Amino acid sequence: MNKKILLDGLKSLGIFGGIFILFYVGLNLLSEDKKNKWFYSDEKISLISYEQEIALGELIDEYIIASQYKNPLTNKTIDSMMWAVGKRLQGQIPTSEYDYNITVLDNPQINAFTIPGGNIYVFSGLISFCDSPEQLAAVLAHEMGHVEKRHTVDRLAREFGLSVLFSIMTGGDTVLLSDLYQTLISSGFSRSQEKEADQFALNLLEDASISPKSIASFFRKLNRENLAYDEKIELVMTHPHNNSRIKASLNHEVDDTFDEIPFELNWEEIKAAL
Amino acid sequence: MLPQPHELSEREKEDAMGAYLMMFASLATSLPLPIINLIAAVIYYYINRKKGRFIHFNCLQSLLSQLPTTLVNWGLLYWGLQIFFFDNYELSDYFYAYLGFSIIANLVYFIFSLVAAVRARKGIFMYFIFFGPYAYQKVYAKRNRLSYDNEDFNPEVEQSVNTPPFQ
Repeated sequence: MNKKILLDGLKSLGIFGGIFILFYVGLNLLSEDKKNKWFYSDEKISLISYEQEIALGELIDEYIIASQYKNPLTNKTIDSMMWAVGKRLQGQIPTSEYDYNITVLDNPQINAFTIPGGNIYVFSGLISFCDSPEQLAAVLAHEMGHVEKRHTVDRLAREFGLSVLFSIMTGGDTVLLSDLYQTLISSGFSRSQEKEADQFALNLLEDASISPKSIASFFRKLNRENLAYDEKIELVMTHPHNNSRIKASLNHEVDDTFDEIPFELNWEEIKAAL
Repeated sequence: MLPQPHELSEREKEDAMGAYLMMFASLATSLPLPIINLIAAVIYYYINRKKGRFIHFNCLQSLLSQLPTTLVNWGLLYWGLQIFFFDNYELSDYFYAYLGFSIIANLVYFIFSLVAAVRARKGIFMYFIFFGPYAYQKVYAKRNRLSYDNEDFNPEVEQSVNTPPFQ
């Protein structure tokens, strides 16, 4: 190959490299508002309506209570604590399409999970593990992030396809419901979904006058007790980078007007009631 | 000496044009997986290259010139799947810049191929940047030992490389 051909090759590489750089520079010249509106719009198009998602959630909830965890924990102390924490958080999502239903399951696992339609399940083991209601609020805010961003319903639609979901909604097939449940508790969310839920949680905690650093203190405790990599803990099973999450939580800059309001709850009394 | 348009047969011109046009059809069928067009180009190249130097040149130029766009399209497909399907990466300025770059690269390739096809049909040489001179060197160089259907056997070229062990 002679020099001229090589030079031609280099020229074309230069031209196309230049095109790439031009696009990149052009994007960076756009204002943040325009860029977000045109390229990073948060609005997702879901083929499942909120009504359908809520109906599906009710079916899965019925299945969970009837077949999996027949013993939801109901006692006045726990109920009022969950109500207080849940209400504080939900009050900061006025545009939410969901009426959150938080159920405490009598189980020693340090875990929480969510199903479509705003149903969140918290294991009693998680409440025992948390040092404060703020830490529990941090976990709940994260789960609410998955709900608001429609991660669970997106995951089910992706795994099963829309036709199967619609057939479940109309028929309520228990075998399929069991499959849905297994998918929800076994396959984790993607890293970007976790990051999105974390970001949502940080903002929500700040809006609810709860320190966003509660996320860091929760994960620090997990790390301290060497539980962060325990595969039995599904809550953190899909989150291999707890340290980066701690960092994100600590680096979250709160507004100047932020004023932390602690929960007026006797946490030790609540834990004793479990 | 390069052949002039009036020296090339209609069949040669059509086969040379086919090297570019075939790629459009295969590209359309291979949109989800940008590899079929490359396989089709390789097959077309090996079937037609011995028919004549003009055809060989155009087939080789068409084949080589689609290598970079195929790679670019593969990159785009992989990146896009990781973002939209597997959720492993996030949308970024780099992705959008790459998307814009890919669109321009495909557009340039499309236009050049179309023009080259028209010119090949007329029996006129068109040299793409880099790939044109390279294909020309490969096909018209003396060391090219392919025997073409429309050329007489050339013993000088044929015997210049391989010789028996004892003479």
